[in-house]
Amino acid sequence: MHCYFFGSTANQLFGAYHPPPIAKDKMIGVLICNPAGHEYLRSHWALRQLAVRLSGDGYHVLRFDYYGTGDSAGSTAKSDPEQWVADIQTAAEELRNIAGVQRINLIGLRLGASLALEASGNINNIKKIILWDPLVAGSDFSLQLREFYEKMCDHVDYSPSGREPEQGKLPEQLLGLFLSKKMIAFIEKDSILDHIAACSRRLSIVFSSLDTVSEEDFKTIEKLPDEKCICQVIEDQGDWHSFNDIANIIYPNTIIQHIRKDILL
Amino acid sequence: MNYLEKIAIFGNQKNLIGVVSLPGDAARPNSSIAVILLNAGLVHRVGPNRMNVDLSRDFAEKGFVSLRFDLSGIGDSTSSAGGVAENERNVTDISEAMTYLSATYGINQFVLIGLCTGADNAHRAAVKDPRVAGAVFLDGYRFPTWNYYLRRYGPVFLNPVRLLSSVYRRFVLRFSGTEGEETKQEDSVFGWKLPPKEVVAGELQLLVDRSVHLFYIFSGEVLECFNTDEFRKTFKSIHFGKYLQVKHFPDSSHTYSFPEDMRRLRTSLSDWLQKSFPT
Repeated sequence: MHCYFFGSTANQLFGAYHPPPIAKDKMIGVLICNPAGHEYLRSHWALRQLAVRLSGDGYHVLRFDYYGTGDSAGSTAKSDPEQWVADIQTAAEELRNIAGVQRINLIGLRLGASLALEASGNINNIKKIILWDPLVAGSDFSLQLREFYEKMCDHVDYSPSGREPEQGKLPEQLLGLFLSKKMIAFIEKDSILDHIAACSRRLSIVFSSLDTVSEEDFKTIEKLPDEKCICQVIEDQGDWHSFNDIANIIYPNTIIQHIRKDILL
Repeated sequence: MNYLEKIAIFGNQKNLIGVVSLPGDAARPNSSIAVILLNAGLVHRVGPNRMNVDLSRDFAEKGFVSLRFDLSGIGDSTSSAGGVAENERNVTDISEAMTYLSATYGINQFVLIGLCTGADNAHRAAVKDPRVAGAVFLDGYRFPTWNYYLRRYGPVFLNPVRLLSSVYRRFVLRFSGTEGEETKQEDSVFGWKLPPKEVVAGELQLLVDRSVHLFYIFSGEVLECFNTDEFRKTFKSIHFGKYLQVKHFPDSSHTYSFPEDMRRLRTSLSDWLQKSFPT
């Protein structure tokens, strides 16, 4: 694994490149698109494990942090979803340059899935896009963030001055995710079904449980033709909706194994 | 932005990964010490709410070289070979971080900063390695006194409504299978074991004898109603003098989840660092 900074000097991005063993080299790249906020911290180990396993299988894998997140340049307050979409495009180009590959796969987890889909329109030669626990309806994610915020405020019985959530509003920053008006608008208008309709690439969706998607939406996605989108539920750790789990690292070994097989198809 | 950052790969087995934040051209460099920020639990080097990234950049802008890195087996650092116990391995990793910074930047004294298990590791490494000149413990070792328990629980017992509510939350809900969120939070990544007070007292005396600057900060989530004088009273045989500072942020959560709390923490740490280790 090689950790390094890439991109422009003003907007340098942290990257971790996992090359394959020479004997197994498939000459195909995989770009991993992170989730955001606390979900980024929870899944860091899992995405690293995924990268290690995929590189062992013969892929050139690049993990990276969006601008204003992780070890990349920029303060959290400068987080901008449009910038993050551009960062994915920059990272795809970087992966081609560093690995010498042409075809790449995109893997997006949670908000990373939405960003990957947005970015894919300007990335050539994508073999497959794998969406892991995507935000099916951004408005649901926005509602969940509001619930988390209220619970965080309720939880502060240690605080002498207390904390009152502003009714109907979100704070400037919640669990590591900067909630500018632009970010909230991006999240709230996000819809996996709209993305699928607009996307011309082959998609594969995996849900860690049916808790992350409504029954109606799941049935709609399931009915899409296989050549457009294949959707599966692989029961594994995620619990993205659980406030009790916001600090817990996930170890989704079953889903990692599933993605390793799925990416071959 | 008055800093620049570089990747650090180091350790005898070259398995440790970190990011060094260096003062930019406009910052007045302070080469007396470098700061090392440790993992909190299993969270990788960026820290909860990106705490370690923000702190290391703050320090770099104030002229201090700072390193945030992953201990063996955490984040991007691979496990080290050798089968050594975890506590011992963590102290070795921190020692290797100091050796790396000395060899690369010529700095020979260090301040360690750790939250929770990071505070535990900072204490152990500070005791073992004489190169540690300062340490910050965020929700580190605490030994509440009788006065603390009186302040914390006295109002509950004197108020029948609060007493009934507390009993309900702690016993009735637990046995009904609907545990409170505070008990479930204990299962998260931030668990560790407090050493015996006598052992810690002996170690703190050793650190004070070495003139190590110690800064303890406790959050309200971990320690309600805390009186900062109590820390000195807990260890009354130790003459800390100017080498101890204790702060309590009663409104803050363990990981400084609210932005205003994080800003206050960052300011407190920068101020302490500059005052304790002037250029």
